[in-house]
Amino acid sequence: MKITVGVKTYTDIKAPNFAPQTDVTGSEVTLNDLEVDINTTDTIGIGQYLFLYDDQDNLWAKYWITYAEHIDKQTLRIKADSQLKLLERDILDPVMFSAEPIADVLTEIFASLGSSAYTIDSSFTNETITGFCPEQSAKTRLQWVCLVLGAYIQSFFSETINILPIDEETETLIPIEKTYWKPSVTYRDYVTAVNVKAYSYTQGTPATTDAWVTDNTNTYIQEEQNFKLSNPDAPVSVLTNEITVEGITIVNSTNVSAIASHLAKYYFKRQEVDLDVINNAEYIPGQRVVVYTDEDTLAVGFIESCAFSYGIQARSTIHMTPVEVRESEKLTVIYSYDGMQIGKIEYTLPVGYAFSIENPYLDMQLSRHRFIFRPTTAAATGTMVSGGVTVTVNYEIALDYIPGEGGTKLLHIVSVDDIAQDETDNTLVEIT
Amino acid sequence: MSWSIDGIEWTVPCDILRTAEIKPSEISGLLLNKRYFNDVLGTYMAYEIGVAVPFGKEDEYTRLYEILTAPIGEHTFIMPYNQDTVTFLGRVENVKDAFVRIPGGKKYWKGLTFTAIANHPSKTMTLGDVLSIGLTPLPTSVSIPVGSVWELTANGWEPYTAPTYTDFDEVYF
Repeated sequence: MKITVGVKTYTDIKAPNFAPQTDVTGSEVTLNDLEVDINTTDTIGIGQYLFLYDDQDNLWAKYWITYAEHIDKQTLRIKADSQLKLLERDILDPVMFSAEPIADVLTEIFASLGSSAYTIDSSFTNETITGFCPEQSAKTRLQWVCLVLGAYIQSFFSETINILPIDEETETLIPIEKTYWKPSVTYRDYVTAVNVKAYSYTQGTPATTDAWVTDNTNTYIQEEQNFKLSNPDAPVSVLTNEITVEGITIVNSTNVSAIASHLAKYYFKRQEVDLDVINNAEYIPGQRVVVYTDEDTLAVGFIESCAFSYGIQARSTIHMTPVEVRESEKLTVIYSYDGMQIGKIEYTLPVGYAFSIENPYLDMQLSRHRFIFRPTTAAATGTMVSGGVTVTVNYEIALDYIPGEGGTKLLHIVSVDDIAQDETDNTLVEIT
Repeated sequence: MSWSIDGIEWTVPCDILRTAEIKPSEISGLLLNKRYFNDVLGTYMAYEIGVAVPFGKEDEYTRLYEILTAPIGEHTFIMPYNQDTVTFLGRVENVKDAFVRIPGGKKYWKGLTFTAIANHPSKTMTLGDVLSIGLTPLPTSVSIPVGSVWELTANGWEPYTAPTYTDFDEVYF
């Protein structure tokens, strides 16, 4: 890992404390931060950007330095916050939105950082905001916007703050060979219902009993409406435990239903999973992943947080929620040569998963021969279905190596793949 | 056998015990498929050296002792390595010796030992190296004519020609 501040790059750093998280309910804007000790006598000023890179120059974080002090003469401790922190200091005026294009709303929220500081997913392009926003920080307004859009904030592994859709469709499998022994599954208390309050506004003079708001120009009479979704899976014997979202006055009769059902999807599932995986930033908060909770059981859910530790590669402790068990089946790949089974390998994979598993060359000692078998297809491909899948991969002999007596060693080139035959140079493979 | 510390070469008689620590990182551990994942940071060399400074060279002994016990974090070492030498920045640990007084009032220090431990790996891999390992298990670029036969000779692999009876001194039927 390395740190760049200004034009200077520091490689002599102690393991950065970096544990990004995000809120996949869209109801909170998480302020991520980073703490790192640099072995240097340099002095670094606060109020500038710090960049954290891995050894392959992939950006992990672009954060704003808020603290930089020597804790001893050779060690500089730096703390830095995501740019979202800067939005806390920007106070926005009250405003009544009426089908305000999302682009315009975000322009105002990010006014101090500029348009290059953020991106918004193209799926939100035609979204609008309707309702009232009181005087509030830009960060709070962003949080409100995320809730009504069904969006989450990615403020890590990117130069920009990215506003992304909470994607229920795309799933990434974290393979068992990247999963540490052993994930833990826990259950949170039942949430018995989700309540979301929707608001509507009419410009006019309020009666004394009316609730009203003002954007400093006009006065609006406020009406409220409660939407409630009860958890059908909650036993009647459990104590009432309801989640209530109120006071977000850009929730209206048009978007309330989607917001409530999204929150219900999140809160009505009780399972949470914590696991450690080898993670060179392939799996990041906000992603929907399928994980192994034991050797044969799969679960699917969103990554909420990743706390990283470092070696040559990186490991992360992942917290996932909400999680549900994912149906899984066995994939059996049989390696076959001339009708004879020469190898077999099994995987547990989620049903519906489109697999593509590279077929390896097989190096086998049979009789006095050493054969190298080459697969006739590059990968075993297909889609997992209930009941399991068996794929047979045909092999042909590529090399037949016969260690002879008296020091003679013969190498028979039995077959050559199509790509290699196009080559003009003859390359001899070293066989020892 | 000589070695050096901070540019000063020492040719005094010595014993050198070489240790290579293939250091795993803290992220190493057991995986769910029961394989142990060993994330190796690198190979760190350590040399445990016992020196025997001949009588009459007490000044040299003292000079070496003062270098070894200097309160600095890093020295430059050149140490024997296979048939060659290796240069590394390292620290000194465990400097020990013994004070001897013998009848007649003679007194001296002897048996100086210390350990020089590399602060940096002498061998390491990058993240890119590690990620590329094992992706292609066996050769993919064999481009020798199908059906050919090669023979391992003193010159390496060469096209093989089956022997005919004329190659033999005597042929029996």
